Amino acid sequence: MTQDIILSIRNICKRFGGTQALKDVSFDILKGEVHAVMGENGAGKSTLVKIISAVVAKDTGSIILNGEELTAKTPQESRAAGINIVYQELSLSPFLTVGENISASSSPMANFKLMNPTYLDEEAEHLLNINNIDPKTEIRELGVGSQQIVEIAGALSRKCRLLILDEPTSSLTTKETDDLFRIIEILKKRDVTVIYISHKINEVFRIADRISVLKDGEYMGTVERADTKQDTIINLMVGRDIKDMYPTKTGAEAKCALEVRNLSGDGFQDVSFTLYRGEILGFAGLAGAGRTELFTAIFGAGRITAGKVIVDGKEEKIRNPREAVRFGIGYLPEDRKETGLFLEMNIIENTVAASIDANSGRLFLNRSRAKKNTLDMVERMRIKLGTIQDRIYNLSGGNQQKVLLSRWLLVNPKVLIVDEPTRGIDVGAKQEVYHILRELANNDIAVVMISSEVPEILGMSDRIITMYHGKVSAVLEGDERNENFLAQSIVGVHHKAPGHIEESAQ
Amino acid sequence: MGANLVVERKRDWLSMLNNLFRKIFQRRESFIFILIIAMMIFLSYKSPAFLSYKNFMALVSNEAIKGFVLTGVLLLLITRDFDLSIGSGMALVGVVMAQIIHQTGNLGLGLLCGLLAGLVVGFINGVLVTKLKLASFIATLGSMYMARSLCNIISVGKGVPVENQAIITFLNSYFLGFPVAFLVMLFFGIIMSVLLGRSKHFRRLYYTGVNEKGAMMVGISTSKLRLLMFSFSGLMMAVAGIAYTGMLRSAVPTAFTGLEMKLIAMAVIGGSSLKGGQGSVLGALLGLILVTLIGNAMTIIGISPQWEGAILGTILIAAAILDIFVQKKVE
Repeated sequence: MTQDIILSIRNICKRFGGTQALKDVSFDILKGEVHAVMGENGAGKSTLVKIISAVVAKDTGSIILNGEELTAKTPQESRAAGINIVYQELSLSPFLTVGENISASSSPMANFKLMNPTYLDEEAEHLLNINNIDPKTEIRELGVGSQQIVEIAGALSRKCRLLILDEPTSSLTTKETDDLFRIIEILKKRDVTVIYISHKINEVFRIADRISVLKDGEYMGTVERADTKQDTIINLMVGRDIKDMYPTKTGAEAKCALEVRNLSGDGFQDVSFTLYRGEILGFAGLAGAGRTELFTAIFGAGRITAGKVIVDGKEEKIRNPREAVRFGIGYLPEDRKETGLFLEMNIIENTVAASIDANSGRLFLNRSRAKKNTLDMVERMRIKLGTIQDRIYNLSGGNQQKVLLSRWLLVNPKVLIVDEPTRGIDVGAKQEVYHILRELANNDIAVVMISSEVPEILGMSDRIITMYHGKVSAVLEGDERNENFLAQSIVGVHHKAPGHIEESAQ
Repeated sequence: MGANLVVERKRDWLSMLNNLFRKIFQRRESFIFILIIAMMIFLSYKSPAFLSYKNFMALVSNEAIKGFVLTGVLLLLITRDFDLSIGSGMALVGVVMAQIIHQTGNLGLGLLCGLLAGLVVGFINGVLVTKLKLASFIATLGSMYMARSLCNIISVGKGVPVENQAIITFLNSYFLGFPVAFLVMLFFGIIMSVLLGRSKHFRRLYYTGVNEKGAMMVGISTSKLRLLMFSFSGLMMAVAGIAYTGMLRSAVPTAFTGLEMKLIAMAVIGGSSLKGGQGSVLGALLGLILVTLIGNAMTIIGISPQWEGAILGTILIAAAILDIFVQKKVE
């Protein structure tokens, strides 16, 4: 490893509305190294990537690439300057072939040449070869892992010297992850610098030379992987206040709220579990493990092909979310903007969205009741806002999430399913959401918490169910709720006999 | 203490009035209303004939019928759909009704079949869009062509006269000095306006239009609602088709071509949007009045009707731009 600096990040600040996403972040990336940037969700990793790639503009600070200040104003300019990024969401054209995608991305339109779909850079071709990807296949026929390899091959054929991988393994299987790491090793040998953005500590320790940590938008330091323990990194990532982050667990009554037996559907098979009143049941797993699919199906918004759902001791067929709401089930979706909020509507309308009937007379909406209920919730949840007539998009992510929680509280749910409840919200709001969820459980509501954040699952759950490839891989209770067991079950390693799962599903 | 209270009450009253004014002037409806009044003053100044009872009532009864279809268009826009088959659907309703009355002499049967024709067109549109998940544009473009073609087939390409005097007399009659069609529309408009603004069922249309997936996840049966709105639009299409055919004493297979676009323009001028979740009955009807007045004004001032499209287009785009500015201001 040479000591040349390829990319230097200098005093970067970025503010989004009320949140300071990055506070005076500075560090250097050395030529030829694999440099991991770690931090929890919302720590500012993605913002940093977007600033480097000129997707968003920085407020202050500078980025110096190979000794020259980077002045790119658009992602295209940044790419032309030699910064290549493989995003979480892939950007290939599904109906073009692998070869066409790569040559389209590497022949700049400015040349006004027709692209040659059969031409492939040697390095790119080699990369595809060793991974058994035929350049003539169409992208849509490939899995996510292979698509990612195509993106990397594309970057290589652009003679890229600096490659940024943004949460590359978030939708990969274990085998695909191994493939990716092999490729990173190859890249390293060819002196390509890799910036590896991730919050997964195990992966980072397998691959990185150096690790920089961000927390709440602040730079916490850079360490050499070789002489650092994982605990050190975790401490840097989550800080010291992790102890009072999570409320005290109180445990559940033995009254069953929801029982699922041998349920199969799109994305999950043969799932059985019991949910008790007053408990928080954590559902852990990798992205794509089938957790969201399972619960949207239970909520009536997805397909169930076999199995039973038992609500309050009676088998019920929940055909659509409307019926689910009638049975007292609430669902806080994972993508707040897409399926949660009514962005152009005001806070009252968003708060009463699921309880229109309860906030109406026989025919007409009762505006004063809706207003009063909203104000009550604003006070109870400590939602920070101007007036309740403001449109919801004026609120910060955390406050939006509290409005969505309020929405479900107004239907007096027996079961509340929360899917990634703290995604993209700041640490203070996270803590408040945790305490609200625990308070709900204490009020006899059965809470299901789907989360991909290990500390959150461990800190909040009374019991943990892990899913892997659409199936339940473990049920963790008591002392079994530790990072080790959790990490194994998430990737499908059974540390317990499957019989145990059956037993706890009783 | 007592004096203070009085002062406070007075202030309260003033601020309430202030708030009320602000609320009124923030609304698109107020803006158009002022425009309409201004135009009417201008027109009656320019030509005393404009406000003459005869001219005005003829105008009113003819345009009132459009109000029904416009309500259908508005509800679809609110749920983020639209229906391109309205014009040809109306013509089909007229041709079906006229042909059946012509063949059988049975007025009731003719009316019933006319209503059914409209409902069926609307329902089929709804099924194509909500069950088969076609885009509104494609589904209703297809049914637009089909309905128009059916018109020509049923009428053998010629106008079908309506000989039944009862319906003609009824539709052209006056009550309390106003055309019946206008009074019915007024009554219907008020009811729809109250329902759309306040009822819990119609609230769900707005949620559906703003974020359909989100609306579904809070327990709103969005597909069912959208299907219902397409059917409602079909029903309104039938009501308007029947009324026009009766008033004009014949059904013309080529009638109402392009009317759907004009209706969408009126609704958008009145504050609705293709983005869904926006619009009111009052706004849409004011849009209708404004567009009608402009057409009338052109004849009175003596501008060639060839200019109508240019003026309508300008207003429509101005309304859309205004919308963007208001949005920006809110943000």
